[in-house]
Amino acid sequence: MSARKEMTMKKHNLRRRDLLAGLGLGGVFLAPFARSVKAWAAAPKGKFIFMHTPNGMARSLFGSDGDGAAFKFRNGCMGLEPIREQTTTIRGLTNKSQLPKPFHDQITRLLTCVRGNSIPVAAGPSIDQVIAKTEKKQALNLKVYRSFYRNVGTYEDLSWSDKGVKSMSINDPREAYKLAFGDFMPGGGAEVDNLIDQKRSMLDFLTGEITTFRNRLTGDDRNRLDAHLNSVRSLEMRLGALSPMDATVASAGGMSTLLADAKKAGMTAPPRDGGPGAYDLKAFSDHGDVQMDILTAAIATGARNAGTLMWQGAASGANPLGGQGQADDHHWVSHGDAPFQVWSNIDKYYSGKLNRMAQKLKDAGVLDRTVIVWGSEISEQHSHDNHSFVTVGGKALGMQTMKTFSFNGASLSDLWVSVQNACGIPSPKFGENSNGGIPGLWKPA
Amino acid sequence: MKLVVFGWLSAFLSLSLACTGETASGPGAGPDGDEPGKDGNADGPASTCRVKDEVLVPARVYRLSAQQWVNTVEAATGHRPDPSRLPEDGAETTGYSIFDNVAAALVVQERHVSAYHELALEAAERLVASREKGADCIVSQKPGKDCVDGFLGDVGKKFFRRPLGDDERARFAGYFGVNAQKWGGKTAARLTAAVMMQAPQFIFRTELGDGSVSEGRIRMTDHEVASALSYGLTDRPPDELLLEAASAGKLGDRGELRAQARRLLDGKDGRTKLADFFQQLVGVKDIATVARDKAVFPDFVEGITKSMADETSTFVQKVLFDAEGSLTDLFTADYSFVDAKLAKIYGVTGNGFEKVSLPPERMGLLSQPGVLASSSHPAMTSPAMRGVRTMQKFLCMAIPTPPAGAADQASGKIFSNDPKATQREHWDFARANKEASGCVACHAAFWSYGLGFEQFDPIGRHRPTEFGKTIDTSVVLEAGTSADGEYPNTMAMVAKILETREGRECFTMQIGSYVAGREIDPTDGACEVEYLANKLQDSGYRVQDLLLDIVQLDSFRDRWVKP
Repeated sequence: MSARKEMTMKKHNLRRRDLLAGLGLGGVFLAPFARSVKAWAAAPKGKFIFMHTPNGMARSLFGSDGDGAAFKFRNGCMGLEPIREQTTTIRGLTNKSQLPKPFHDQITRLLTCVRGNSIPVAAGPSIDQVIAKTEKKQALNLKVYRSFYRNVGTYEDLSWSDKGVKSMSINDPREAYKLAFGDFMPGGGAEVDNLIDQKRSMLDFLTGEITTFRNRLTGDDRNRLDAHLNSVRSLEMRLGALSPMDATVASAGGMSTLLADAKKAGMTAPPRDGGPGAYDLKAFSDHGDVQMDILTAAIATGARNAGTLMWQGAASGANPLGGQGQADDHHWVSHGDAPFQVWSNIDKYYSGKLNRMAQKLKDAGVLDRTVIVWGSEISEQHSHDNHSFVTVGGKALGMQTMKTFSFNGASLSDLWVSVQNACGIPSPKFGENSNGGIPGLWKPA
Repeated sequence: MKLVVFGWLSAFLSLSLACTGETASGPGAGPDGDEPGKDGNADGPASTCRVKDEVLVPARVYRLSAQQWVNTVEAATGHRPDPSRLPEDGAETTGYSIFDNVAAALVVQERHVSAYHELALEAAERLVASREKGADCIVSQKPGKDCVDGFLGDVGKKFFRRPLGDDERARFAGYFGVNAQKWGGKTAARLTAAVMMQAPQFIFRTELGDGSVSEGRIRMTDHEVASALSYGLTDRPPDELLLEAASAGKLGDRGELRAQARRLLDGKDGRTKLADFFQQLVGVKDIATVARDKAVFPDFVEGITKSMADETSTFVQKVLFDAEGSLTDLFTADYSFVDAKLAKIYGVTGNGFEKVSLPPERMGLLSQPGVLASSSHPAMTSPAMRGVRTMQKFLCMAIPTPPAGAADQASGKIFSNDPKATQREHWDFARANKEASGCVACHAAFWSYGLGFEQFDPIGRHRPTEFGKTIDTSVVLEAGTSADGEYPNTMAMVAKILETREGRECFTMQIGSYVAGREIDPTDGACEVEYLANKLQDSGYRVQDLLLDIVQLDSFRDRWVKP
């Protein structure tokens, strides 16, 4: 590695060795981290990550009490203790539904706060994509478990790049990595320069062809071509961010290492959650760690400025603490098939994972400029009232921390207003029912 | 004990399936009903349905499925990309028609663009290498204009399934020229071929016509018809013969269209594609994701899911093509084609997908292990899943998203706490439980159909008893259909449904949706559905004949445009 790159990492307090150790993926992250300083200097706006876990939270044991020195976590958030200075909890938000009665399929509304006439379709872009667009990027949407709870495909994704255009969550780490950091090319020097140049020429030309083609279309077809066009532009941007030297470095460890390690870890095709006994706890945890690391690396390096991580689809049942029967299935546990404490302990497990993700960003020196939000598609027992959320990070953006917010029906869309404000989008509106943001959650930095 | 499917189901079934009363202008009517069409050598009269706007679907574009994209690259370059490197296609589980080629679910996302980019470059490399081997002028340092035109004309037609338009040709020639100047002809050819494989003209199949509109309607071009036909029947791009027919303007002739369709259907790809339809119809397509605890199910050995999928595909092809059998045969056959792994599950002797006679408890497709395993939980059967599948696939019922609170009521209320309760006993428990009434209202239909498969365990083995208790598989269909009545099991019920008007029309909608890549509207398309279903009956339930009838409809090639 060149001296320039060593300096880059040192300056940003980037503990690459730690991150690589966590990943177990060898030299595969060399290139993206090496780019971090350029990307960061060019991207002063806030970054955003949403972490989704299914089935709501055990509310009475979730969140925190008090502010400042009196700020204290309840059981479900105890895993966040190491980063308590970066954390705030919010309870009592409402995700107002068009449905007469709410249900898990409200996940289409979770990050959009607007729904279409068709039940499985959202009618607006989600907050992650809105923030991504501030840098003309697309959000990186990852998933740990491809769960297909009761085979309802609608439950499997939560990000919408536009009205009716869903962004599917990726559960294969190989694909996630490639989307975040590109497909590195063999060779080096002038050869790599040429290849990058040639790829750019193709993508430039393609945007013209897509635009011409799009102009013949109407309605939904136009939306589809817009999504296509945005995807090509995103690939173009990734290519633009990849300097020839980065590509050379990457090719040394590169994708082959990732593929081999992911395969060795059994991560190439995570099983579906077909019911009790169908999943492996260690694989679940390991796979989650890898996906988190890819997402945080993408954010830290500036390859992406927004993303989501779904641990499982809405209503899914895999219980990260184990169990074989219905009483241990996360979904059924949330419906009272096990003592309430069991459910809360699942929340606690995920709070530990969130802590891990935040620590990665902290180590990379970007947590203060990144807002992480943790939430679920429902609050408790299918209710869309009294939602609980956790925010972590974003202090340099003006996010207030070590606070406990309790509301009685404030709109979820106001949380996204506060988040978008923190990330550099000044609008007081987001989706439906917004009213200027959550009072006191964000203050201009 | 008998279960009755509740009468409310008849509401789902009461589709408006009668003709609209519009007068028709006879066989081969044009889109307005006032122009005689060309019948050529078409078998029998064409649809007498007047083609109204509401019968037609809007002009639009369809993204190629992963399979179709790979096949098209292979046909054009001779190199077959690995399909597993493309994102998996999938459909939302709403509506009655759930196939992986439904256009509404096929969009181009970032992951697609990334995969197309990579695979296209690899395929282009191979294409140019083969050109270089043949000393093609295009790989020279400075290819001449004629050479470039020839190259673009040749590969453009293969990639876009039609001749390039003048503007298009000029744009690609410009792209080639810029790159040739910089890198030479060989690299320019590689980049141009790669960019073509990523272009929307490649990725999307169009149904837009030539731009002319008559009374709000457009007619697809012959090349668009060729693509619709070829992808619809084989998942592959039009071959040389079909492209020639399109270029010669022959595909407006119903006889030519029928002959081309017949040719495609009888080929290897046509057989495979039809088998793929049935694999998806009965739920075997995704069997690879099914897992079982080997300690509980030792017969569920490594590779058996592939055997299960292969059994269904082999069975469909042998019955429909080799034995010239019918739809009825598929659902009533007392034989199948099994390998050694499946033979253990069946309790028969078999190897290498030989034809074997099945024990009397088996009956056609629905008793195949793959069908039964793919609709079960890992450790137990799922009458709900098996029942839902029956309703969607054979009665064309759209299963709504579970209502609010459904899961609340199901928890601990449908399933009794008796660990040795049979599924029917669980269901009896649920029906007797007033707190589960919300579940029972919908699940009554799911379970009643599903319990009719209970003689088969989660891997499709026959089991006459469960926990020492005799399994009752009887079912009563009482849904306002002509198939209403009592049946010994759901397989027999479905076989009977397929003999009825409702069953024929549902099957017609399913296969029509699969071929068209969009769900057929049961109301707007009612007249044509009825017409086709009658033809199916007249043909002795010949599935291939039904496909030939579908592609001859005016609605196969006419579209409307918004004012």
